[in-house]
Parts: sequence; C-alpha cells; structure tokens
Amino acid sequence: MSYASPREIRKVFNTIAKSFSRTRRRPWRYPLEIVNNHLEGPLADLGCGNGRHTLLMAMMGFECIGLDISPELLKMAKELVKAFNIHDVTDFVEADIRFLPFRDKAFRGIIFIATLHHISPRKLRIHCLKEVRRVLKPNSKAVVTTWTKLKPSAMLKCLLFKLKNPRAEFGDVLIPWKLKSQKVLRFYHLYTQRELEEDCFRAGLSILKSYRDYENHVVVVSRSS
Amino acid sequence: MKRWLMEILACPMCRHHPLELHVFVEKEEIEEAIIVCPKCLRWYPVIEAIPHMLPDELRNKKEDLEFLRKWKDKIPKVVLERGRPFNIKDLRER
Repeated sequence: MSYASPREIRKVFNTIAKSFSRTRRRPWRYPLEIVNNHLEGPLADLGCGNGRHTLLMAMMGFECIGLDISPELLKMAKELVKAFNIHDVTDFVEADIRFLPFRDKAFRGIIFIATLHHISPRKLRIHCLKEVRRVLKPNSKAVVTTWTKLKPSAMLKCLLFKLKNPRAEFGDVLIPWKLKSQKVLRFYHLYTQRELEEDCFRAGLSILKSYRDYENHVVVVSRSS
Repeated sequence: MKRWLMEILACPMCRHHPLELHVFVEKEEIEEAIIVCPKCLRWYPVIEAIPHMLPDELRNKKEDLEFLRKWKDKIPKVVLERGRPFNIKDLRER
C-alpha cells in the first residue's frame, strides 16, 4: 500500500511540518518512564518530530539523539534545542526506523512516541520493535506509545476503511491534515492495548508496565534475556 | 552533527560499526562531511549538520550525485570509484 510507504510518510510530514509542529509544543511525560542513572550512554528519541521530547530529555541532563525521516521536522528540532542553549548534548539523524543506523546496545533508554503507528504492515511494525530491542542496552527501558482505535470515532473510521479496502489490516486508517490549499492524508494503524503488548512480546521485549493514557496506548519495555 | 555521534553510528544497511568520518566543513559542529562504511562501501552525506543515514531505497540519486560532484576533490578515491549506492560512474553517465 503506497500511502503507508516510508517515502510517502516522509513526503507527508515534510509537507505538513510547519503547521504540524505548531500543534506539537507540549511534551508528554512518557520520557520520565525510561530515564536512569545506573547506565552510561545517550538516550534515543525515535520519530522525534520537532524535537519536543529530545529537548525535555536533554534538559534533564542526558545526552539525547533524535531520529526522524522528515528533514523539515529535523531542521525545526535543531532550531528548538539551539533556542534553549542545550545544543551540546543533543544530535539529530535523518533515518528510516526500519533501518536504525546505530550499533547494538547503544542506548541507555529509548522513547518511541506516536511513531510505530505510521508503519505498515504488522510484520514491519514488529521488525521495527526488534530494531529497538537491538539498540537497547541490557537493563535499560524503552517506552512505546501508539494511538488507540478504542474510541467511537476512531472505531468507525477503522470499520469504514476496512470495508473500502478489504485487504487492509483492521485498524488501518487515513487521517486528514488540513492545510490552507490542500488536504494531506496521513497513514495510521490504530492500536488496542493488547495488540501493542503482543507486538512488543513478539519482538522479544518484556513488558514492565502497560496502560492507557487519554488516546494513547503506552508500554514500558526492556530486552528480555 | 557532533563528533561523539560516531561512537554509536552504524551502517543502516550492513550494520557495521565503526564508520569513517571525513569532514569538509566544521564550525561549532560538523556542517558538511561524508560518513563511509568500510565494510560495504556505502557512503552517507552530512548536509547542514544533519547526517542522512537512509537505506538505498530512500536515497535521492540526483541529490546524491550533486553531493559527490560538490566534494569530489575531498572524498576518498575508493568511495568515489566504488562507493554505494552511487559513485563516479553514475556521475559520468549523466
């Protein structure tokens, strides 16, 4: 499905970068789930977007590397950390989440916030979680969040999409982003709590914590030995 | 891009670590450079201080060739001649 290809996702986020970034100012508190002082090394923010969480982690005193597929969003992230003068402890990389450009066990913690749901199909999402596992240090944690399909309007969208596209996975939807001159469609695979836990489990991650927070499903995971 | 990033960067295609860094412009941080995987000879550009570590399928041939042309005097010969996914042969074809 071309609307879920990495090339398409990159194009979509480059197009909407400016107005998208304006609606993504306040960070979630999920990064607090993974910070630790007993390990060395940097933290990673996979799918960092405009860098709001990279900034938060750097302000807590950790080296943090933000990764995103959209060069436009990365430029904004770089501006953001410069404005706060914590440029020294952050760095940004343009890359594809399916091919993480990091060595094994590089990070003392990883946040993977509202990013996994842009990947299709399920096999690839599990592959991405395996990549997260690969670059995570033993005894460190990652926090993974996705949007939910368990609310009436989202469920309706999922049903309609599945009726129109019988070969799609249930949960796949296209969500419009309105710009002045055009409407841009973003691909999402909306989750249930159980499904997110199962994907992590299949990727060899053990689940330390699992909860729903507003419209997000959240899991805190570590490498299972 | 900061120098310390090299401590954790690996080739996204063959996962080799460490990678080689050749810097062209450095101010407060590394602005323009090339990162080379010594194992598979893939190269990745650093442009406006951001390393572009994309897999082959997402690379933009036109932009990559422009980068090669711009820095051809400073890029190691082996990368120019045998680098992947694009090298000087692609430049000659154009």
